[in-house]
Amino acid sequence: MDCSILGFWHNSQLLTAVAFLLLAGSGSLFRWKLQSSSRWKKTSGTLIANIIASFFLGLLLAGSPSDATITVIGTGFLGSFSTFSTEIMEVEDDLERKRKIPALTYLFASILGGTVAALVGLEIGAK
Amino acid sequence: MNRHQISAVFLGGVTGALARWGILKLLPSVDQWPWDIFLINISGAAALGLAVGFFARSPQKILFLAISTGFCGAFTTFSTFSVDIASLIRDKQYFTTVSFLTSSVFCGLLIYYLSKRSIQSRRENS
Repeated sequence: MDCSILGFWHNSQLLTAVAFLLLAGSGSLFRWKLQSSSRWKKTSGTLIANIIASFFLGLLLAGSPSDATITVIGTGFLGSFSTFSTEIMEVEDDLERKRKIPALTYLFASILGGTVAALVGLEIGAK
Repeated sequence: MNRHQISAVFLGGVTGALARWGILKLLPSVDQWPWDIFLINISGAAALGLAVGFFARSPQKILFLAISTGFCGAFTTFSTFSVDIASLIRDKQYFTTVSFLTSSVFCGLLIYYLSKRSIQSRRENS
């Protein structure tokens, strides 16, 4: 048994938990930052976050990482960075304002962009 | 972006991600159809609809930011949704791909709309 105070930090499960919490919070902050940028519309921020996260999750999972890495980076960071609920809210908002073309364009771009990004990530990661 | 807003998004995000992690641990993967991500995304869309309806007159509130961008944003996820679709396409499971994709989008939009309206009509009647 390790009696030193530092031994506490050698417990990898605890480190995984701390890293998970920090990266999950940071993922949400990065997404919010992209959505709040004055350079583009709020929906573009969501779209960019979702496509980037889809690419990196594909890349990560293709490289057969450890369970801890999947939990911290995949479930924690990329899971929080990307979002489904905001996407649905933004599409519904456009539909309610009778802006059907922008709503469908945004939805289509997200799904096609996310799927292609994930496929490319899986391809590159497997090499 | 002040310190209160940053804390709200961070703490909401941590809570949402923990809830998603817990549900993913608890739910067994029964078959190829990605039920776990479907249930998480649909219930998160319902929760966001309730929050949008509830805070309709005060969307600038810090609690709304914590629930919407923080909790619901982090609880639901798009990266696993995309990777699941990509994996199903690679496995040539085209029927599952189409049914997972369309039901996620249609059920998500419908449940978001219904939960938002249910709160709004309750508030208009009271």
